[in-house]
Amino acid sequence: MDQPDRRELRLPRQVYRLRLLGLVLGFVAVGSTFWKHQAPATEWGFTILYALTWPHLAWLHARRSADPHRAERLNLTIDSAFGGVFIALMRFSLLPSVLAAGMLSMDKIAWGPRFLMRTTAALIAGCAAAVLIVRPGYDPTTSMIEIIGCLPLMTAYPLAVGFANYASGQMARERRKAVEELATVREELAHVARVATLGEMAAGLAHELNQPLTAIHLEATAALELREFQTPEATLDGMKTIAEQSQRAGEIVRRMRTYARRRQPHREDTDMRQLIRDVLALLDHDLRLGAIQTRLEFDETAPPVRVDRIEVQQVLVNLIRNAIEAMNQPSSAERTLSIRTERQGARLRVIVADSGPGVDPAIADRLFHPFHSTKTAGLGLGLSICQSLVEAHGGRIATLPSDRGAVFFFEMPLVPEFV
Amino acid sequence: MTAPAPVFVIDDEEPVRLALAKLLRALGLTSEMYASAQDFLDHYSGDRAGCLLVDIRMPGMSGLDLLEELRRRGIHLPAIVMTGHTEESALERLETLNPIGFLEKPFTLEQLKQKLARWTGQT
Repeated sequence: MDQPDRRELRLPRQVYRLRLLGLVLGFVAVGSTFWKHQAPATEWGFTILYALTWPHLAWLHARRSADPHRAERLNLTIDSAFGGVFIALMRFSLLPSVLAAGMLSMDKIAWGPRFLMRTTAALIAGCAAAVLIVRPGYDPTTSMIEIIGCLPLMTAYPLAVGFANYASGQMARERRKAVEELATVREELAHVARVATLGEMAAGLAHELNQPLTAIHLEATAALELREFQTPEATLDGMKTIAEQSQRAGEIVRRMRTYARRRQPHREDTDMRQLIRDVLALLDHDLRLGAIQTRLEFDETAPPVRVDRIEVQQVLVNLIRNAIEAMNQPSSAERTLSIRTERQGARLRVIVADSGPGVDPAIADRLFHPFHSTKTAGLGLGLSICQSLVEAHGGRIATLPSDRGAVFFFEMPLVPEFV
Repeated sequence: MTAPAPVFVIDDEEPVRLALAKLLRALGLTSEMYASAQDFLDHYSGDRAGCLLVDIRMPGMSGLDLLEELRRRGIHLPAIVMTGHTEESALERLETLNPIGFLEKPFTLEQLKQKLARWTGQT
C-alpha cells in the first residue's frame, strides 16, 4: 500500500489539532455536568479514556489509509457519533448539549449539506445507543458550574476553527497568485523569444520588403521622368503595380507586427491549416532562399482546434526554421519540408519533417531542455519554450524516430464540441 | 544602326523584372528576362554581347555563383549587380569578379541610368 505523501496528510493533521483542542475543552464542559449529577466512575473512566486515545487513533487511521481524505471523513462521522453519546451521558443538560451539537455541526458545514446530514444522523444514533445502554435519565436544567464549564468551549473553539479556515484560505490565495504569476512570466518569455526570432529573420525580412519597394520606385519614377510612361494607359498600368506592391509590403509588415506583439494569451477556435499557411508566408523568403520544396498533407475532415494562434505560430516557426537550417547544407540533394496534420482522438497532431541529417540520437533526450543548442548563435531556448507553450494547451511535443531527416510533432486539443 | 546588345535581367522577383523591362525599353535598350541564373545559362549562347543586370540573392544559384560560373566558362559579360542587403563575405567575392557597378535595392532610376551609362559608354 502506498504511503500517502505529506501534502495529503495536511487535512488530517489540521483536524487532529482541532479535535484534540475540542476534546480537552469539551472534557471541561462534560466534567462539569458529571460533577453536578455525580456520575459514576465508569462514566468518568470512559470519558477520560476517549479523550486521551481517540485523537491519536483517528490520526493513525488517516496516516495508514491510502486515501487520507476519505479516512478523515469517517473520523469526523465517528466524532459526531460520540458527541451524541456524551450528550446522553450529560443527561441532556441544556447548555452543554446544545453547545456540543452546535460545535460538532460547525466544522462539518464546510464539507457540504449531505455530509452534515450524515454526521447529524450519526450523532442521533450515538445518542440513542447511549440512552439504550446506560439509561442515564433526563435533566435539562443547567447549573452555574456547568455554565462556567462551558465557557472555554464557547470561546476558544470557534476561534480555533475560524483561524484554521483563514489559514487554509490564505494558502489557497497564495497558490492562485503563484499560478497567475507563472502564466504571466511564461507569456513574457514567449514574447521575448518571438522578438528574438524576428531579429534573426530581420535580414531576410528587410530583403523581402525591398522587393516591392524597388518595384514601386521604378514604376513611379518611370511615370515621372520618362515621357513614354506618361500616357494614361501606361500611367494606370504603373499605378496598378504600385498598388499591388504596396499592399504586398503592407502584408509583410502586418505579419511581422502581429507576430512580435506583446499580448494576453487568448484561446479561440482556429483552423490549423490556415495557421500553417500563415507561418509559411511569414517564412516565405527563407524557404525560397533555401530552395526548399514544401509538401502539405492535411486531414481535411479534422475539426478546428481551440488554441492561442500566436503561440501555435511560434511553435510552427521554431520547428520550420530548425528544419530549414538543417537542410541548409550545400550537400543536401533533396530539400523537402513536409507538414502533415492528422486527427488523434480528441487532439490534432501536426507533424513537421525535413530531409536533413536527422536528430543525433546522442542528444535526443536533451533536445527540449533549456539552453541546449547545436547552433552557434541563439540561446537554445526555442524548443523548451515550444514545449512549455504546447503543454500549457494540454498537448505534447516530441520527436519521432526516422531513417531520413528529423521528424517533430506536436498535438493540440480540438474544439470540444466536435469531439 | 545595328540593334543594341540586350540587357540580361536576372531576378527571381517578377514585379522587379517587369518594371526593369519597361524602363530599359524606355531608355532605348532591349532586354531579356530570366527568373533564375540557371534559366539564363540554359538559354545563353556563348558569343552574344550584352550586359548582365543580376540580383545577388536568389534561390538556387545566386548572382555571385552565376558570375563565377561565367568566368569559369571564359564568358566575359559586363555585369551590374543588384544587392538587397550587404553581406561582407559576398562583397569580397564580388570584388574579384569586377562588375561594372552595384545597385543596392531599392535603387533610383537615376542610379540605374548611371550604371548603364558605364556600359553603353563603352560600346
